[in-house]
Amino acid sequence: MTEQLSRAGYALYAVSYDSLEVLKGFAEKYGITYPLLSDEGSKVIRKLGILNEDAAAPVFGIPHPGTFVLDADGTVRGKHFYPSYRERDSGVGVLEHLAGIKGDRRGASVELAGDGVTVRAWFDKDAYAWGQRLWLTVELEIAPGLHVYGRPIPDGYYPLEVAVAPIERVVVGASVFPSPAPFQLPGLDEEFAVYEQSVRVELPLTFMVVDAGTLNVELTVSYQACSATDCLSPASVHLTLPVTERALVERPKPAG
Amino acid sequence: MVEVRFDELGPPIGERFPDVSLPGQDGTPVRLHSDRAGRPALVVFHRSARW
Repeated sequence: MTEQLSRAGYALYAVSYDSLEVLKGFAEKYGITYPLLSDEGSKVIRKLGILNEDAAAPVFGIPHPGTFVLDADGTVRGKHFYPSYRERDSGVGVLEHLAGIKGDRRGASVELAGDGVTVRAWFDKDAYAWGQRLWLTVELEIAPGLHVYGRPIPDGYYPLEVAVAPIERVVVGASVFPSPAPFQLPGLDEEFAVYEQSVRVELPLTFMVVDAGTLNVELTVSYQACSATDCLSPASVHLTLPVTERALVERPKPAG
Repeated sequence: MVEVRFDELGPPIGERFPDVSLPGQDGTPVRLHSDRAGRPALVVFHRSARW
């Protein structure tokens, strides 16, 4: 993992609330050469606002496990978080996706891994100019054995939906869904339209704004993940993706 | 409905990550932005190396 990252030009830092002694032992045991940083007392974790408030003693002080992707200027370009500390970061796959080392994302990207479903979102460009259309991609990675529902949807189930909070002079086009696959539950007549493994929803945003600076695009991704026998609670994931404004080469001069 | 709010965790996208300084495993302080030396970086927060 570290090799791939450094080949891609990335520095890697791991922060935990462990003492220096623990980290030293850990680094020696596993031959880790990248910095393992000790935030004993969780000061930095607290300052960054990622302290897990729900963790009780003796594990109080742990952060929400997650990764920040910084660009060469030190600006946060991506975030990946697990809401539950029970889960461990799965490593390079996640990091590749997030850092855009692989793949087609150029703009800011966010990722949130929940129980059974990981939600990611990114723009195809990192900046907009007046009149420009950017495509937003929302990707769900669905654990084996689980599915989320598409449309048509029977009563009482929640389909996959992506909603963008309205921004003045930003026109949000219709979401483009891939065709769901038919799915039948044993013993039920009803046929469901589902997505398994992974699904990408794409939607166009057209920016009819000038001099608005960075805009925060807030989206809500709702879905319900089920197996053949059980359903997880319907979930609603909120993500915020900023897009910066690219200055126009030629712009109208103000009168006078 | 399980509500998951992502945006509130840590510095927002588009903002500069704070220039934190913490001791590394060898005991010497590592100041993030100068240590990066112009490289992009992944900063991973994890629960503990011990468990």
